[in-house]
Amino acid sequence: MRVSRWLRNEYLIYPILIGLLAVYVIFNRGLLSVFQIQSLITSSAPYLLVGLGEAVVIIAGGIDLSIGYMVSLTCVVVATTTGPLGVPLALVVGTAAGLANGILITRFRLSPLVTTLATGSFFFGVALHILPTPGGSVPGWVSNLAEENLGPIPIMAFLLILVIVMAWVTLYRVPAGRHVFAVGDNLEGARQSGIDDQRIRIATYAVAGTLAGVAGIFLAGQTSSGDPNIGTPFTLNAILVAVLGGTSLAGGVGTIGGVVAASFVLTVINDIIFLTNASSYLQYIVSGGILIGMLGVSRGLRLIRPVPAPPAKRVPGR
Amino acid sequence: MTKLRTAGGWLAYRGVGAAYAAAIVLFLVGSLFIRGFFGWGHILAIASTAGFVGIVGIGQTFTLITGGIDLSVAYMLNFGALLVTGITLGSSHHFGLALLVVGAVAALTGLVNGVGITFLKIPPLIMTLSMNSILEGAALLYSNGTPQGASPPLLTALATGTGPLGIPWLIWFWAAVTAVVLLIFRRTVFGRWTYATGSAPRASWLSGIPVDRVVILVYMVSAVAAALAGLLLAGYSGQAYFGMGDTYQLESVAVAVIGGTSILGGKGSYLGTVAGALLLTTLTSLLEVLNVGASMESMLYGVVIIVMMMLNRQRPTS
Repeated sequence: MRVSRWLRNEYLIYPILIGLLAVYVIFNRGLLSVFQIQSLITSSAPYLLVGLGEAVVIIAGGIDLSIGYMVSLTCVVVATTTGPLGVPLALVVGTAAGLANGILITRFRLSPLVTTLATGSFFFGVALHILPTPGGSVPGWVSNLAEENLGPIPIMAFLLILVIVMAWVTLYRVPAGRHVFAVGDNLEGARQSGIDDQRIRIATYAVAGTLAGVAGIFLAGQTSSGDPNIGTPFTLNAILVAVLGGTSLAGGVGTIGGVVAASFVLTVINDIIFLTNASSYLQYIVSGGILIGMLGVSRGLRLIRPVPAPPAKRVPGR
Repeated sequence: MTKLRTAGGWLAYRGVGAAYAAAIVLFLVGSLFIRGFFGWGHILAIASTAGFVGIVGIGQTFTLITGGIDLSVAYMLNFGALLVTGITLGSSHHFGLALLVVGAVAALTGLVNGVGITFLKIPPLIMTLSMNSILEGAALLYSNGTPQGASPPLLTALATGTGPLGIPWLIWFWAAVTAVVLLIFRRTVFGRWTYATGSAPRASWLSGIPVDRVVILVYMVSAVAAALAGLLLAGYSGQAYFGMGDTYQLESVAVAVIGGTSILGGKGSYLGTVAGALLLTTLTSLLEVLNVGASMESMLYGVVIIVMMMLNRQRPTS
């Protein structure tokens, strides 16, 4: 395989991850301890979950700017529901929120960007209504799921592997999964070859909602409480992870492996900033800069061998 | 375009008409049910409060018309406010310098946004959302987490004082800015090019319009407008604080979309955005009088945006 192929968006994330891990090891003055690896996995869990949901939506040609608020909403639901029903209820709420996004966008043909900005405001309002200030309580087993280890391996790692396998099977081994790529790559073509594009797109938003729900439950477990503001940074982070992982905003392109790698990249960067004692404010600059940097570099590399004519395809989702 | 140029053509622009009508109806409904809602003083209060989001909306109108979006306005506004209070420390002494610095930072931010979008082909959503994160980090680094100083007297007077005819200076200022923006849109080559670039980027490029430069300039206008709103908001509240721009992210997009500006580019007018700002501010004022709380406000914002989008969508577009 030629080097230039590896430097395309889809694969750029792997060398970046390896490079960052090397930097991490250098700053750490030694290999990572078991504890560090455990915390690396649990810290990247919410990024992975929201990033995967966002990636599926983007692959089908949409965008979801309400993910962070769905995380907040489900987190608050878990923390305020007494009894064993909190977790299933949060999953239902997340999925329903995602379904609402999908139905508004496809059935009413509204712009995904503005629609999810608006529904995000709605979800945030609901979260704030349920729990105006951080508080509430979370069942012990939810906290255990989020924090405990089974032997040396965090329980969360098993859950993540389960999610990844399920995503892999549905995206790559089931017709509906191929349809997600088809719809995002060429909506009209997919429609004409008999794919029910509306159902596929609604399903992608619902999946994003469900995964945001899992992330919300996880964060509630990790902090043992609910917080209506906890999800706010996850909207940018979800897009960040999806796009860093090689998902193209033009639709039709994206891999699960890239998303997983990207969620680790984000966590490793945060850990390195922490290790170097640099101002934690740098995190904002780095997480904003890395995406611009990566997309800029991959564009710059393409400029070395110019592609004729500017691309005519407009980014959908606007 | 042609429609806009005919006499009174903007009234035929139905999205704009609907937004003005909705604002007036909402105000009258409020007046019917709430004592003291109707009154010259309250109309002035609504109009001057609408000025803040209206001015941020200038940039959003420009960027949306080119088919882009600017999601870096929240922290451009916030950074502008922090810079002016930090540099002047509440005196008129360094006000000129502060204006220069804020203007330069805003112009640079817009320039970077525009260059990233045109030359590096980074989607506007990602470029500006990342820029928002970078600006947040920059603002935190600049103020070290605790905002300092106070707004200079001149800004406080402009944002809170009353001018000729008993009308607040803020309204005069907004009216003047609106006149300038309308002139730019209707009487300058740049204004025409903005529409052309948004409705048919490739055709515009082929017919010799410097599409890239238009887009870059549009993002510079947006950043400067957001910073200007930041200065006014600092003057209004007497100081700067973190998160003061957060609500303007959604609201600036909302007022433009409510006013009939298409998220797909090529269509829209600043008069519509002004209508959207008046409508949204009337709604906010109504909700504040009813004392429904922040959560209900957030929910209703979402609902209003989606309803207005559906209304605008069903109208035959010119």
